[in-house]
Amino acid sequence: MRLIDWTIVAAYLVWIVYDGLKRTEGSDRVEGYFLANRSLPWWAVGLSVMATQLSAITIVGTTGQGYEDGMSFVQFYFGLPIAMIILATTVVPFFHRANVYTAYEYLEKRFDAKTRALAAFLFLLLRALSCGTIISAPAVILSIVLHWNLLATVLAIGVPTVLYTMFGGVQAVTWTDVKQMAVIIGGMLAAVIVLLVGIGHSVGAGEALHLAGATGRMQALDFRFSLKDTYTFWSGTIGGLFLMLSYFGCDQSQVQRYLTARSIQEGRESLLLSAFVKIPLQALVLITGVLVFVFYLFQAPPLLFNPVHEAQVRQSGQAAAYQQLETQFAAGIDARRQAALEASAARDAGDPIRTQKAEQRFLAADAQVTGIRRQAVALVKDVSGDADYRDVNYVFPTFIITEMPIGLVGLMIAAIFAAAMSSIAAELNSLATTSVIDFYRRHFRTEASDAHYLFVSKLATGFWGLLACIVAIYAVNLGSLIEVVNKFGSYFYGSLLGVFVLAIGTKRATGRGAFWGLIAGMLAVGVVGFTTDISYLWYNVVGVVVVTVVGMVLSYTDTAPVTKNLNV
Amino acid sequence: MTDHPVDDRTPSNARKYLLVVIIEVIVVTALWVIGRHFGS
Repeated sequence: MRLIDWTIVAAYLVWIVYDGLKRTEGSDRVEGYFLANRSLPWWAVGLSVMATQLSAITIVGTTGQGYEDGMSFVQFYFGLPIAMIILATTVVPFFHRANVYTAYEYLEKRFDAKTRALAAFLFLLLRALSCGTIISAPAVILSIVLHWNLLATVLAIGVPTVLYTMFGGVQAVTWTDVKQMAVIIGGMLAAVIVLLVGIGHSVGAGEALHLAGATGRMQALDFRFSLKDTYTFWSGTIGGLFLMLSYFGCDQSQVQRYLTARSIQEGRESLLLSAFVKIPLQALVLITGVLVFVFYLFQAPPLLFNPVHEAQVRQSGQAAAYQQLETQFAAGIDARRQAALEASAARDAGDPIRTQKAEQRFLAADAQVTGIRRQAVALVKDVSGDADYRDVNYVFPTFIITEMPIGLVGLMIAAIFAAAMSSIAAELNSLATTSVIDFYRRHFRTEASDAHYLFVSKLATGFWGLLACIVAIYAVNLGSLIEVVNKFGSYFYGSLLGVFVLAIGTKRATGRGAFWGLIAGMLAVGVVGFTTDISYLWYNVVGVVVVTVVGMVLSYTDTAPVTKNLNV
Repeated sequence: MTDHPVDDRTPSNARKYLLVVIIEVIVVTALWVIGRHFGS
């Protein structure tokens, strides 16, 4: 990276902290600090909802997925628009009218203190772990591609985020999210333009997509019904619907975004923004990865995208084998480039038979390159002992650092920082809210001044930030922790949704039914998770169904509950 | 009390929800058509 790129990254960090710290209007009271006095416009809240969901993993991981597998991951989001409509008509008005700070506070109003405490505790446990991993993942990648010390990248992401979240509260989180979304979208569009220009030296945009299509990467939809496959139309539409209902309806890191909206209507519209934009945005991120694949058809890619592992292999007893693979890889890349150009020329000439033959040669050459890369990855697994090794997360950062022009490298690195910081800020803010509102103010210090709670809230934000940085540093050595956290989340997300279905959807459900239903739901998902190979997207469906059925059966064995006046 | 009391009005949003569904159908169909066109 050149000086100008470093300057852009530094300017971004200074600007975002400064902007966050000056957005503290009304944050001198707890309601202002956590809910912005319910005063924010729908578009700012909507962008904040999107920025919270879009982490740095989305940028580097999803582009990597586009590079490797193509567009099929977009199906994961097919349930989102319908989920947003359901939430806009149900939980948004319920939470707003119940005048709560957290989703779990509503559970006590509807059921009892223990159901609220269990739900809030599960949220704190998951988010505390996930907050560490969403710092850790980009920190590891940036430390390798930028040649930084890992601690330095963790602190570069964590410290500015903690600073503005701690002092600015939810106002700072939301308004910085708006700017961070602009940086992210600007960066991704710049990357697409650079890719199209780079590919344009060899083939046109249409031909580029035909080459990607020949390898199956443009095939976004898979209509096969299988409970084991995660990325199909049905698992994305049905399983994804329940996952998105759980995430946006029961996870405080998202609920808190729309609680800051200045009316029920604006809360609804903030969610509808995601309903309209999310699938096209994910398609943009994925097509960027697909275009990186096409770009590397004409520019030689590295055999391994992770330089640390590459150096490890070179210094190991497998160095000679690796060198041999490099020679084969260079020849394979050359053959693939020639075959891609021939396929493109044949299609241009309008000769279908020649096109078909040329595409077959291209696919054979691509399969050979993929095979050589697979052998190189096997060498890394052998040398490092890491059986889960994949380097797809390094594809896009490598492209940024080695292929993008001066200035845009800085913008893209700033975009990765922005994506990480926007998610972390919202999570820290919601962790602090839940720990103060659902535990400290509810169980430990029930009567104190607003100034005292505000002080404790800032301390809590700082505490969660510090913990997230520590988890991030240790997460590096735990390899598959991210997978563990994701799986752990899916174990209770659907069950949590089941409790809210009981709370909002039925009048007959009791506190005992909801509490034991929640535990039964998590146990059922645990059994399904450990004894079957059903895709985790379906765990959410299992969780909701079991909680609702067990909760209702137990509720009917109780005396009918006295209807509480929730003003809803 | 806050300076910005919660607005309790619930205007009909049916048209917006229908638009969300229509746009999703269009986007998913477009992805399918693009996949078919460039995949052949």
